[in-house]
Amino acid sequence: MILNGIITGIILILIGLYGMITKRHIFKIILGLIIISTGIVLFFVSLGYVNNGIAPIISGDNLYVDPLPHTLMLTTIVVEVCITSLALVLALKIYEKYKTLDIKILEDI
Amino acid sequence: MDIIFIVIIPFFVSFILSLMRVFRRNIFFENFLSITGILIPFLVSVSTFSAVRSGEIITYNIGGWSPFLGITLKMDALSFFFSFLSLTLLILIMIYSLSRSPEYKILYLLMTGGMQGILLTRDIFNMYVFFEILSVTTYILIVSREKRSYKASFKYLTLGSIASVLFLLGTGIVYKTTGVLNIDIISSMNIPQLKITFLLFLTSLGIKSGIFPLHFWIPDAHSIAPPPVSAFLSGLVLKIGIYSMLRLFYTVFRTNFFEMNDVLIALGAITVIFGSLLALSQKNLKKMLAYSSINQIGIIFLALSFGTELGIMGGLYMILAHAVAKVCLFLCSGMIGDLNLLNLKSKPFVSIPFFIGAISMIGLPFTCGFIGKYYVCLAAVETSYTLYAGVILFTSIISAVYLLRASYYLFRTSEDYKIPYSMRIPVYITSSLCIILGILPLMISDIVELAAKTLGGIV
Repeated sequence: MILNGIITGIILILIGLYGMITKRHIFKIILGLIIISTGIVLFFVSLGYVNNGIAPIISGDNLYVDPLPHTLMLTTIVVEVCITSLALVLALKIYEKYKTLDIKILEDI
Repeated sequence: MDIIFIVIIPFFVSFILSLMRVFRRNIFFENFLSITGILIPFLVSVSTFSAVRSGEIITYNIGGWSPFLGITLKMDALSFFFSFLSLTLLILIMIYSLSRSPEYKILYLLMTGGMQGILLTRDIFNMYVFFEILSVTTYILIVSREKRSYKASFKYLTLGSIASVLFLLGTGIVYKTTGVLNIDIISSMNIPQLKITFLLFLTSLGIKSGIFPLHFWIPDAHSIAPPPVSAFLSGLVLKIGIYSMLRLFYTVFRTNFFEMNDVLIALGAITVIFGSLLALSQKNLKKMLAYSSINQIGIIFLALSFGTELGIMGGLYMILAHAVAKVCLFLCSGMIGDLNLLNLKSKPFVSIPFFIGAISMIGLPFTCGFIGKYYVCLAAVETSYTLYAGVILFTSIISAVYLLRASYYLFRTSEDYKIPYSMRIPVYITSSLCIILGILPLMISDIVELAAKTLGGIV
């Protein structure tokens, strides 16, 4: 099996999802979130890949890599940074109020 | 004015408000700015009314790029319906919450801009970006002084970010198969979409709007948030998910959507029953209202899944009715001290609007909710899903039980308490809108019919 960027991206997304669903610790959930966003960036960047393509600076009659997914990913990276930082702030606040990050304990309170 | 101002002006005003934090706080100027920040988009939206009504689609290409390359904003009947409804209610909620901190207003305006962006844009990736603006601001707005609000916000954040990742994954696959991101161009290309893409979008938007197996963040987030926040969360933010479903499923995923009709209708029916039964068992007023919005979202989803024009019309009327009534009920709940159902006490100026909102939610005649439920049941009978009409009528009885019980307790008068007029007036307006739209649906019926026609049912 050829492990190209698209498949690796999807595998990373699945690993992240698995972590978010099964782990019972807030920090681990945030880590899952970060893995998912890495996976999605890899997935999108590989979408634009063209075999033997060169950088998309138009000159002459060459084969170019599709630049659109890459520009989209710049936006996504910014969004993911926002969400991750907000999630970390919330985790800090939860720790301040409850003195624990374990979801099993938090659910009972 | 171009329709781009509907999106830009809230962002611009929130930027100015955040700059004003440097200087000494001037409450009058701050309030003035935050109301005009929503009023100007509202006026721009109203100014397009006559053109939209005659069937014209107002287009704006950002930066002058062709729709194939750039982002296109379009205002058609469906966008107009949602944009007009949301901006009207957002102004009222802003007036209600004028006494809150400047940070609240900054985030509120950002949220308004994000919401209008989703309604106008025709670019899938752009829709994702606006969805993120909307979601991130709501995650923050949910947080209040209460301890549990951090947990509720975190829960919403995890689910919301999973939803947006699924949305993005779906966008990637659509881009790979078609090579463009513009919704109109994709749907005119007539390339059958993969079923997995449809399921990704369905799950993502299902989380955003709270369809049955994905609803579990709603009760926490909606009941713990401050009252004006829960008002627009359940009145408007859930509807934005429904809007994106309408926009995407009736155009890009048309074949997939009509193939899976039966499953979606059944899911909607389960949501309806589930929401109403759980609402019946709640002891806290706001939690009860949150579950009742799951119930109403179920009816809307069911109506839109019929796929006929009558179904879409019923769904849109239900959206209108639920948005107005739920905003009214949640704003009322902000004026009550103790939210435990058995300890409810209030003044007549709270209990009468609450009662009117409640009867509109139940769907008694001469209210806005009646028209919605009437059309939905008509659509159910027309498409020979008569059982589902029965489900809706049965859950209406259940919602009558819990809503009328709450309003019965509310009629007990309490000792004096002071509520400023800026909080009372929005409640009066929303509750009278419930009645006015029920008696005179003519004001909005042209737009609803046109929207249903442009989306088009099964041919």
